[in-house]
Order: sequence, then structure tokens, then C-alpha cells
Amino acid sequence: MKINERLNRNIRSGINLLLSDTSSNFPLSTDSLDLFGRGEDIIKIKKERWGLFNVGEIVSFWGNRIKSRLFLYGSRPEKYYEGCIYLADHQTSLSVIGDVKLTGDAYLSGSGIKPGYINQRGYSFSELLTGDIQKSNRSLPALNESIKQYLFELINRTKSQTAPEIITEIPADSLSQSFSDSTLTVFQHNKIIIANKSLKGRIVIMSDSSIEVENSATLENVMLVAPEIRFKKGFSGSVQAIASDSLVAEENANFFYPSSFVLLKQERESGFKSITIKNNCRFEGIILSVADSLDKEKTYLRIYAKSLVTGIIYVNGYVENLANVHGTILTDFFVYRHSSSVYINNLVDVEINRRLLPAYFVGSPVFGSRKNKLITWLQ
Amino acid sequence: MALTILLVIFGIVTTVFVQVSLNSGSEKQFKVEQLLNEFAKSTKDERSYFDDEVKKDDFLLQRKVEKYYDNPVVVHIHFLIYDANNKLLQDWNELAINDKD
Repeated sequence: MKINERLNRNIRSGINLLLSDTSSNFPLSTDSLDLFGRGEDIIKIKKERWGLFNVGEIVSFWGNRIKSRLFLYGSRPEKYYEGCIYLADHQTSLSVIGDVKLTGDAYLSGSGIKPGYINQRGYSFSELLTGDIQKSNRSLPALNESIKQYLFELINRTKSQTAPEIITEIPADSLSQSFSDSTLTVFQHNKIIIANKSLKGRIVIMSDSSIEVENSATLENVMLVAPEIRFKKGFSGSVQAIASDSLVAEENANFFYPSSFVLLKQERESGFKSITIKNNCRFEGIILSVADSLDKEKTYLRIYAKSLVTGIIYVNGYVENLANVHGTILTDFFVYRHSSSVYINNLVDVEINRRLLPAYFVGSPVFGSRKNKLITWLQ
Repeated sequence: MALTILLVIFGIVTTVFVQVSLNSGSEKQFKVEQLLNEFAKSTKDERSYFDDEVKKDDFLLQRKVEKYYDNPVVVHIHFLIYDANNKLLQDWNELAINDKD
């Protein structure tokens, strides 16, 4: 039997073994594992968190031959994420106005959904929702606590970054760090501007103030961590951006799957914390905005018109959505602003279609890890 | 002279015989691997995670499926292929995830 095929088969077995593990034990690195108890098929398994997703590595051994594979994986989320909307039950109904199209089940308060009127304009269609209505709870579905803790630790590291392995400058214009190597962390005590750089792989850029990414930068699978993060007009790339104050994507920015925007508001912290996605942006991945359930101000997501989000939007707080969403939105409140008025739980002229979420889309274990799925191969 | 010609002919015949034998051996090995690969692929594509055996040409293909230790979703599949004389030609083990989607 060909050795290469055997190594590949054992890697596949190792991947299945790792994907079957939905525990929260991170990071994990096994010693040699004898797959079938015959002393022949030996592998090593490693898993680590990478933002909202996980990185897995399987190393397969046969005699003196070694082969390995690295991959990014996530989770199929719990059933609440299979609807188009989860609106927490704050005892108000959801009103739809204009050309709103909702496709998929909706989790709503007991008051349900109804046609509304704003500025003498009503609802354009006869059917309010293509799907079933289910009852929502007073708060959004719980997030995985250990992943939340890991994300808060990441943001807290921007306040006290002193480890010796950390560098203060991006060392080259083009940088690729394999996920089999250790993390390359770049930290600065002031604003970082990423321009004319190509960054790929296991790289974390951290600032204790802000990060600005110009459209001349190319990012692939890297993480950015800072209180404020801004992507300038026309940026394109796949990136996980984790912020504590604000996240902004300027016009015409493209975020390829699997990207993520994560806004974390600390307990007992006050102030307006927001994510903004401006006009004509494309976002494929996860937008997660976290605040304490007792926080009155919570957090705010604003998505401008003519943008498209494909994925999962989860906001402890307010969503002002003027864009189409192929996927699902989970929020405490929808907001619509017109002239000087603010309307709560009104949706106007948007399409939210859960059925247009591509089959390849895999969520994050932060939403509950019902089943792990491979997202992409890594180097 | 005649002896030399005889020796050359003998050499050529021997070489041809060995080559044909080797080729038929590797051809059979190729067929065995192809059949077992197809059997494993259809097992996983169709999620047929139960014991079964199938006759194909002069070969018997077999799979044995069991739980993988106490893992609730992973199955251990043992693929085997035998010739007409019930001689085991090749086998391998693999782990698969057995769930609904």
C-alpha cells in the first residue's frame, strides 16, 4: 500500500476525530495517538482558537515519513440561528414597512409581526413573512462563555502588552506566517496604519488606541485587535477585527468569508460603542456585538443601504439595518431613523433571507457548538 | 554462433516473461486498490455505516463498522478485499463522522 495514501487517510481520520470534539478545551495538543491500536497509524492532534474560529492541525506519521494538514473550522450553530430574525422579547411587535422581504422562520415577542406605516407609507406585500413565527426569549441566545472570555482577554491584552516575543513594527511589506508556527504579534502603543502591506496567516496586529487599514493593504486570515478599528474605502480581504469602542468599514469595502467583526463592551463600562458598515460594502462572515444584559445603552450596529451582509449578525443592543442580509439577524431592537424621528422595531425596505445563506457557510462555536465543520485549509 | 543466438533468444524470452508477469501483478494490484477505493468512497458518500459485503468481479469487498471507543459520533470502518480463494489482498482502517447532515 502506498505510504502517501496511508498518511492521507490517517489525516482524514484525525480531522474527523477533531471535528467530533465540541468541548471547550483550548488549546489542546495531544501526544502521539495510535488511531487503531495497532502501533502503526500514529497521529498528533492540535487545536487552538483563532478569533471566532478554531485552527486544527493533524500530523500523521509512518516510519520516518511525516505529513500534516492545517485547517480553519467552525460550528453549525444552534437552532435559533436557522431563522432569519431573532428579536428578543421586549414586549414590542416588529413592524414592516415598504418592500421588506423576510424569508425564513422568525423568533419574535408575543406581539408578533404587523404591517406598519411611516410617513404615510405602508407595507407593500400581503405576506409578512415566508416562514413560521416562533416565540423569542427576553434575551438573545446565550453565547459560549469560554469563547467570550477568550475574546475579552484578547482585547485586554492591548492594555498591558509586554511579552518579549512581541514586535513593534510590521517587519516587511509582505509577510506570511504559517499557522504551524507561533503567532506573530505586532503591538504599538499608538495608532497603527496598515498601508501597502500584504499580511497573511497567523499574525495579530494590536494597538492600545486604534488601527486603520488602507485599501492598499491585503489581509488574509489575520487578526486585528484594538479599541478602534477602521477599514478605509475600497479595502478588500479576509480579516477578524476585534474592538472595544468602534469598528468602521468605509464605503465599497469587501470582507471575504470567513471574516468577522467583534465589538466587546466591558461590564459596567459606559459610552456609545458601535459598528458601522457604510454604503456598498460586502461582508461575508460574522458580526458580533457583545454587551452585558443589564447594560441599558448596550451596543449599536448601523449598516448603510446598498451593502450586503452574508452571514450571522448578533447584536446585544440596537441594529439599524438599511442593507440586505443573506443570513440571520439576532438583536434586542431594530432601529429606523427618518427625519428627526426614531422608530423602534421597524424594518423598512430591506430583505433578510436565511435561505440565501450559502451551504458552505459555517458559523462560530461562540454561538454554541452543535457540530464542527471545516471552513478552509490553511498554510 | 548458434549457441550465442540461442542464448540471446532465451534471454529475450525470459525478459518478456518476467515483464508480463510483473505487469499482470501490478495490474491486479491496481484493480484491487481501485475497487477498495470506490467501495470506501461510496460508503462515505452514502453514509452506509454498517457491516456489509459486496462481490465485484472475482473479488469480495467487505466493511466492518464499529463504535470508536466511547465517541458518540465517530465510527471506525475497516475496509477489506479478498480474492476468489478468500485470500486477504488489502485492508485499511478509517474514521468517519456518523451524523445526520
